[in-house]
Amino acid sequence: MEKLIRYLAVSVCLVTAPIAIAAPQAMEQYTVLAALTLNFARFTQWPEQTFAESGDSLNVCLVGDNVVQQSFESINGKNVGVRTIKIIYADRLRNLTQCHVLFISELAKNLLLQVFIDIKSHPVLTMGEDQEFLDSGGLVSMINKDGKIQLYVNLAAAKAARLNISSNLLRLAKIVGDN
Amino acid sequence: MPFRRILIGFSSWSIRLPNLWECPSLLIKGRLIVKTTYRNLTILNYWLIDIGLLKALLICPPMKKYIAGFLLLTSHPCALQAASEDVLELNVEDLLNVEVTSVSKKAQALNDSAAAIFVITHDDIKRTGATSIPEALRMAPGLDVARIDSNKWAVSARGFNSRFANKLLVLIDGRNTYTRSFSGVYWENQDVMLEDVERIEVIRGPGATLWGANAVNGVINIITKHSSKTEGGLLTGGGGTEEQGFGALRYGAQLGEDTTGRAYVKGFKRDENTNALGAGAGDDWDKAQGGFRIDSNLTLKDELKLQGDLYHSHLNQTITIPQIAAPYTDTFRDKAETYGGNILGRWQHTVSTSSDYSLQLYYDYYRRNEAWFSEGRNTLDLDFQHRFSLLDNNEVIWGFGYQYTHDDTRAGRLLSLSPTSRNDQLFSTFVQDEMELIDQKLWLTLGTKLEHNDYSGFEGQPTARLMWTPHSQHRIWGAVSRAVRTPSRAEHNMTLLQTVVPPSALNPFPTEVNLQGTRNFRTEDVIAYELGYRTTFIKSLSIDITGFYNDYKNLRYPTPVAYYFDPTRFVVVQPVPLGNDYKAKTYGFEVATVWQMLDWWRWDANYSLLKTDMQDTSPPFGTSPQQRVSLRSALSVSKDLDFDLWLKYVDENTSATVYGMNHIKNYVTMDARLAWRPVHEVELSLVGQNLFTSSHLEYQQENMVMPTLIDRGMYGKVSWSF
Repeated sequence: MEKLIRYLAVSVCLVTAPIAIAAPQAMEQYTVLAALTLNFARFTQWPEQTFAESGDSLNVCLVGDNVVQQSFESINGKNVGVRTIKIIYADRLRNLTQCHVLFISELAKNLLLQVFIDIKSHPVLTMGEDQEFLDSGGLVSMINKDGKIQLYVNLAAAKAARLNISSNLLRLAKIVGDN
Repeated sequence: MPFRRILIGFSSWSIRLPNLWECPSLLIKGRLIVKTTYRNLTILNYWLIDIGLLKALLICPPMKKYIAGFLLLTSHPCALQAASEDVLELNVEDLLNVEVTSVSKKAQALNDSAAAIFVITHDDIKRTGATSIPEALRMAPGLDVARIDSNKWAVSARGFNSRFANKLLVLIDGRNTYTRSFSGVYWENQDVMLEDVERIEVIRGPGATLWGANAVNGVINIITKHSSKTEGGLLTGGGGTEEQGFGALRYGAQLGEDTTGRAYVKGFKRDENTNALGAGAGDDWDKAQGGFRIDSNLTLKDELKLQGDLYHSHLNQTITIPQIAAPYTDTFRDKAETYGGNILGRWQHTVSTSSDYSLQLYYDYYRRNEAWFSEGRNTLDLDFQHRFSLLDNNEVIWGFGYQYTHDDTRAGRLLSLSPTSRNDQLFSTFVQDEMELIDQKLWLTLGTKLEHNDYSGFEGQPTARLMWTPHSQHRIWGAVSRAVRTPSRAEHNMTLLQTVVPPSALNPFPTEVNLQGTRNFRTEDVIAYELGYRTTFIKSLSIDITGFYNDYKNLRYPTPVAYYFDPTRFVVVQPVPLGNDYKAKTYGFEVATVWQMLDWWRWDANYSLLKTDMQDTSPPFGTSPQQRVSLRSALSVSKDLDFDLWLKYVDENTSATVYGMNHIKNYVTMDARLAWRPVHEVELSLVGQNLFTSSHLEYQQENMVMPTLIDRGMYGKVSWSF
């Protein structure tokens, strides 16, 4: 009986879904950005030697306030292939070359430019959340456009940083920068 | 039994009930949503709420699965979302399709400074419909904002309010708006294009170490947007009963590969208010202002900013001035004029992520011509700041500054300065070290400012602050600081005609009472103790509480000395020189909360309590309101429609005037705003201000200006971005 109800429920939904007004539940921005960051960690290949020091962990560094920190706590310890994610708070903007992923929520422009100078030619996947981040030299930006996140990837710069982002991910993103 | 989260009613309220099919998770948003999971599918069903069924679902666990099933079967509008239960298991495609919201960020973000800081955002200003900086400042807790008349305000933090309040430091994009004349701010001279303001930081308590003298009770930092964020045009205009007419035009553009800029013009005309007799108070005014800002990245490490403003204003006022001839007082309409301008350049060089320095130079000029006094002032100010890290866990900021100011005054019917013109210099230097004692947990900040001014010589202003974050959702801080309020030009050099006592049977001559500046007037100082706690332990709700205790010494106190007869004018002169003989203590607390009740409905509330303990019963200053409440509701009815309400309560206060203490009644007032955006670029809004009464009294100026009741006002506004 219970099973039947379930099947019926699903089928009713399937049948009537096209006429329904879609009103999906809104999710908090940084929860979604954390989940997207996890996906980027999974679908990006770093040069093998970058793990020589970090061992089993894939370092996700964060620059942001308590809201960002709390949201990204959810991906701490998640598995990425053979490695696990380790969240590092990088508010002091030091030792950034230890980061595999560097998410920057908000930073004064002069410091942002300096961060890119510091990690230049290191394989750090820099991720941000606005257009200015890309313009300043960031690799990936997850921009909220009218309530939905759009991905922007500076592919040429990512390649120059020896990062290989899976085409499955790239086909969902807008490619910016040279080429 | 595992528990599953069930959301009922508003998305921020939740109730937990037993699991899944026995009880599907619920979510009501005007409708009832039953969310169930079948294998990896999440099924969301929507109905209009049926309380009966809902009760059955909640109350009767064994029935639940059948009722739920029944609901599922009979439900008609039914949406399906093919997604996994956990957001982390959603694939990228789904993540990019999901509706995201960042509205609750303000309700969740906690400030990391070990100081009582409150931020008024661009959006807050827009949604209150505030048309001037002081009106916007009413949003901040701990600030006492009182409108004296149309073109005058009394603004202070944590007490000691008056038109010529002198314990607050106000900066606009790094430019100090304080005038040496009375160590305070002419609020009517300070304006910006409010649409281009990024935020206003209001710091209660001493900020002297970083910001300098006169940041005794607080610092207000008005920060406009970087010009790269104001590209394109903005045209606004409107009018109404009190705001009779206003308009502004701004245009911003890319000026080169690494350079952006903007320019603006604005103007307004404001109506007069009501005097105690119910007639017009003659305090209408108008102002025209224009300005620009250019930002350029010279290199990746060098940023240059240049900005400036020019303004001209007619301030009308009805003033009452004592005179030695009968009838010993004269009331007349004064058409005052004020104009001025400023230009500021700032160069910032970034050495590394932990080191940068900046050099700032500005020039400011203003002139005021009033019947009672007129003055012009030139100020040139140079500031250097350098930030660097030391030994891995210390962040040091140090700097120095130099200010030169020259004034040119003309005696009016009330005030004269001797000498009439004077040059003053100010040298200052400061150092502050923020030490991270425990990684990401405990910080200690020590700092001091040392300055030398031409009035009181050397002044030291140290501070110690401790910040503890036991958890990412909690911040606890405490601070002890000393701050000084340096003497003003008037306090050293003025003769101010306070009152004239008419002749009497005992004394056949009129008596002139003169407030007299003295060259040995010293600085006022305070030792301030503060303790604060911030938390967001409840989702979508943040609370910020600060308690303070301020111990003031050497406060300004006028003491009459021996009178004498002036045979040339046939008047008795009673000089009242200023001294530093008064002490006071203030204490209290401020609570500020933000609650994002729904994605589209936010509440901002704050409460301030201020107790003032005077040395005796004849204080030389008034008492600021003991309690203030501000409650704002920001409702986004739809994407294109805002409805905002702002309720304000201000406790009774006492204004110290030359006529004695004037007791001002408490008042409650409300502003409302309705805004509609028919297309993205155009917004039409209707704002009502001070709606509860046709007029109310907020404050009475120390002298000259008779009590003026602030009128209710309505205005409409159109704004078009292009």
